[in-house]
Amino acid sequence: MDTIKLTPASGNFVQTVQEKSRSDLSRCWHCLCCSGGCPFAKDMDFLPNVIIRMVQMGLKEKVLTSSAIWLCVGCNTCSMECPNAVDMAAMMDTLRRMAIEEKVKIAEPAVLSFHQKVIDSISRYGRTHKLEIMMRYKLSEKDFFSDMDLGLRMLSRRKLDLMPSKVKNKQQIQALFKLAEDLS
Amino acid sequence: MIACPGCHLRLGDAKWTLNTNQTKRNKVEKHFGQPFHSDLQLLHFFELLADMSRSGFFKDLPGRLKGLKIASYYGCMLARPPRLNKMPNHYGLIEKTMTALGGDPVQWGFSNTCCGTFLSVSRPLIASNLVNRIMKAAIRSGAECIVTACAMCHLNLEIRCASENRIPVFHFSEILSLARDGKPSREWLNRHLIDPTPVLKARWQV
Repeated sequence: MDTIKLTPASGNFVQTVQEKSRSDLSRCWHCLCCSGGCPFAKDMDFLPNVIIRMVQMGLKEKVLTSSAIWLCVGCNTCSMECPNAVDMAAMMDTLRRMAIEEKVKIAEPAVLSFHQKVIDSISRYGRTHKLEIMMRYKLSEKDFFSDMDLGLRMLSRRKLDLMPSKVKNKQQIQALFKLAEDLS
Repeated sequence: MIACPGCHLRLGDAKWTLNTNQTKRNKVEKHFGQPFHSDLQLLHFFELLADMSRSGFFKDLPGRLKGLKIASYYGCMLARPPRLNKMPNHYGLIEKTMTALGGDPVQWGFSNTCCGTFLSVSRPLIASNLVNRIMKAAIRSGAECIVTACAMCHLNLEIRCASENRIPVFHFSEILSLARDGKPSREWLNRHLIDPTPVLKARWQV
């Protein structure tokens, strides 16, 4: 079993996470309701409540490089289960941001890459252009063949548009991106 | 009025933020050059439909759903972060509306299990496991179709479902139009990856 060394500095991590996510993690009593309810828990390397405990113990690197924070989709099921109103999804979101800012090794690079392609598309057109997002994503992942049949079926059923639908005033979209950055 | 559950949650969160954080509110008001109305009401389309059902608006619709067995699927639509706990609750709204339209909602266990959203792209196996569990449960419940309020759920249920677990999935707007005039739009039905015509044929001219 690993030995965990707790130093006075370990506490900084939990403080930062709590402030950024506006969530009081000390309310968690590890009843495992969140982990039991989470549809993604079985695919995570650490259960959601374990992530809370690791944050409290200041295990920053382990937490930020975990796959759990990237498999959380923010469906808020945990919040429905939690008897103590711990905002788990906000904590996970904060941890993802920190992982990006601190440039640690991302455990699920494909998840992040897809997010970026979606954001790029919105910044380019003001809306998402699914076909282009998928093509750019597949290119960056060097994955050309999976879901090819699905893509073709969706195209033939006109579930995917060949051309992007664009917002007229692109400057306003750019200004919104700037505002969002300013607010976060 | 908002039809997308995701947008409804995000806008609710934005409203909460603007009402609790004066600094952010100032910045946003400056950006848009107008004051924010703090008592602005966010109405989900289903809240309106439930109101209309209560007042008997759907009683004489020519289409009607003729006892169509429906598995109401909310996905993560009912879940929200603790800070938004005071927002109106959407429990049972799909069932109520479907009953008012003449349908027969079934009881089942997976109505609020997340569909996997974007993991459908980057981790398709995780999404397909979830989707197949949801679809199997819907079939077991005796439902003839699934009705969802979310376009993302609709897409995931259709594309990540194994061929043996197929059950037609409708966006609630399609069910509304069926109940209203009883003439399914061919052009629209063709966009489904799981063909809904076998279910519709029994009751409507397709």
